[in-house]
Amino acid sequence: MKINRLAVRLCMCALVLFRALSLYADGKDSLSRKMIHMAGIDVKPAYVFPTHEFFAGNNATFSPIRKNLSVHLKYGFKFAPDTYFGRMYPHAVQGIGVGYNTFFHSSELGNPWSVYAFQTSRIASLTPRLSLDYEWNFGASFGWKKYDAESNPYNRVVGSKMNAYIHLSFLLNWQLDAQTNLRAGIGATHFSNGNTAYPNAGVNTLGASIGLTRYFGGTSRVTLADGSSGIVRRPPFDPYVSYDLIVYGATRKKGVFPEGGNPVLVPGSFGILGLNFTPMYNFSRYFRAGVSVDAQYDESANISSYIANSVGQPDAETIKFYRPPFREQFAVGLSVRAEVVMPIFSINLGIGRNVICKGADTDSFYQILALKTDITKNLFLYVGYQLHDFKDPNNLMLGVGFRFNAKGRE
Amino acid sequence: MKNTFRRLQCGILAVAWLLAGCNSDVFIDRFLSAEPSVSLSETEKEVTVCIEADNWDILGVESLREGVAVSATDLEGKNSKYLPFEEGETGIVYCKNAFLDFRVEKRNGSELHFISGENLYDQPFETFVRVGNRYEEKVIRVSFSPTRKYQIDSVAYDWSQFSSSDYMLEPVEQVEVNTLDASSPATVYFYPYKNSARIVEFYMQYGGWGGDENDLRKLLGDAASQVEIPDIVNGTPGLYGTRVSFRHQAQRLDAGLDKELKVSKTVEACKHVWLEVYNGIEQYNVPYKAYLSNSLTGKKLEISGTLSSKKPFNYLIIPIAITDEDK
Repeated sequence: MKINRLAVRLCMCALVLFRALSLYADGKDSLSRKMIHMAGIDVKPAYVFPTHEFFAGNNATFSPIRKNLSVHLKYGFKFAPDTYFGRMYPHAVQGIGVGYNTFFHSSELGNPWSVYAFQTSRIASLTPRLSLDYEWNFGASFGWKKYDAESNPYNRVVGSKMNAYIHLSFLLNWQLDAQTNLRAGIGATHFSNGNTAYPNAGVNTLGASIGLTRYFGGTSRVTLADGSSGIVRRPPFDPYVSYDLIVYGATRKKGVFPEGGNPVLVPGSFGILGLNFTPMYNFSRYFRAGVSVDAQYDESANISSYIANSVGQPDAETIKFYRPPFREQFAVGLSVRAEVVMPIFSINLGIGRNVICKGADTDSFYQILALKTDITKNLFLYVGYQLHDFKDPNNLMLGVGFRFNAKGRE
Repeated sequence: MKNTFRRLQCGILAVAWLLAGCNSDVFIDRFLSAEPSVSLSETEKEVTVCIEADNWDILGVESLREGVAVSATDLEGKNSKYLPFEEGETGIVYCKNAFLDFRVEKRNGSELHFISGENLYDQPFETFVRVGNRYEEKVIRVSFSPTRKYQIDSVAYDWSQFSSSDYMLEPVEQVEVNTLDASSPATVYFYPYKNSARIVEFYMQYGGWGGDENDLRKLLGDAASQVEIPDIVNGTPGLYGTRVSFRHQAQRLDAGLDKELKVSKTVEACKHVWLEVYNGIEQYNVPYKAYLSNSLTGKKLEISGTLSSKKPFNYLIIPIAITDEDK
């Protein structure tokens, strides 16, 4: 039986991530065991970007696919106001969610479910009861109908039954009462498999979001922490330098263009192994930035120059490669990193360039979007994606990191 | 303890990702970085090409001369095989004909041996050995310089089948003499041995080596070996020291006659005759076997056939009257 490696990895990530959430939810690292729990429901109608002719109508029904609707149930928690995180991040809510998606075209796309971690917090208070919030979701979606040359030939956008699910929304949060909020706004969603299978055009939507959230427990502290009373006792923050050492791995697919022949999608998945060392200056409790030394071994790098087939035109079944020299598969780059720091999760953005490299595949700039999920004060889970030219996929990054000189939670 | 366990979990995850990622199936090892050339000669009888990986086989031998047969056996030379060899198959590929002996041996996956026997052609033997697998092919160019020729060790005659005769005549010259209107005899002069020569010819049976003059020259070279042939002295055949080239083509030898000998013949008046001059021929045929060997390879070869000799030993002038019917 063929094992979907991405599915296995994302499941393992989810397990670790949920374990991390449960550790925090148990309050083992805080001064108080009292948590403020949250349950919510969101409805998200969305417009499907016609990023591929499949959505424009080149599908089995010859009708454009424009609409997407999803319904989400979420559980989350806030840290109690008398905890370190409660004082530092009084509006941050994190948890897990489950969503059901339909594109009204289940015959070729399916009706995928998404399971994800989310985090939401306040960007700005507009009035005592109205605020502008953001929310991100990151997880996996299941139940896609993937491309199949015989049974689903038009769907050249989804290559996996399971895909990553990424969502970012900006919401107006209206506090109906002390425990109930109505939230509405706009958000963008991206589904793709992170270049672990082809095709990987992905699905992108832009839509509205409306939902209700209800908090349970710690009501008085919620009110206190919401800032409406104007009294929040935050500990002073002294800037410092922390050092993240990250090891990650992943797999990726690779397509090559043999000279004088048709493009070939190379069978199997290539291994990725990376190491990042990132000293970062913690400017505030919300932000840190620094420079990262990024070393990465990519088993597929520059294989286009090492096609072994000299007998006939290679295809997906026959194509073989000589293994490129290590120096063409290994690259070391420097990147500038900026990181939004929140409880449990940190969102890391980076732009860099390989400086020790050889070959066209590695001699390039790259961009990084990554999510760090704290497991302990020093240990975190690292899930990210690397692009080049700001749009073309390089590879997933799934790994763990250790933060030296980590501070906080004291 | 819990921290250690968590770190262990993470380590296992990382290693699992790493191992699961290896896509080794699409990679093959490069068995030859370049396409080498091999030169074989008398002094370089065996050349070994080292192969970098064992994922290759002998696929074939190309651009051969016409008539060179390619065959293959196992390493013991016993069981026949077919080209191309299958994955990992060892064996020997022979390229052979009467004038060429060359083989390629694959004893293991890391070496290919080129072993020369003989190249009796006068030019280098050029060929290409194709090696590879189902994905790629490489060509190894082979140049095999000419090797030394055969030499004749001995010739044996089968005296029991020696047959000879001396009654044959061979025409030399013919002159018409008409003295019908003459009042006196006419004298005509001839040189009956002027063009006489002993003709010796080795008839050769076609064998594995071929049979024509070109084939024989490949075996022996331009400077063909000299062999002793029989003579008949006083009616007794035997070897009396006459040596000729062992060649396929007829050879003209000096018959030992006086080429300046001038003889006259007088025709009386009122005659009309043909004067026909003949040489009397002593002829013999004898089966022979020539034993050849090659000092480089030690190979031996036997050529058999019949030696024919026609030797003029006297002359005869015959007048033949021409009548009205002959006109």
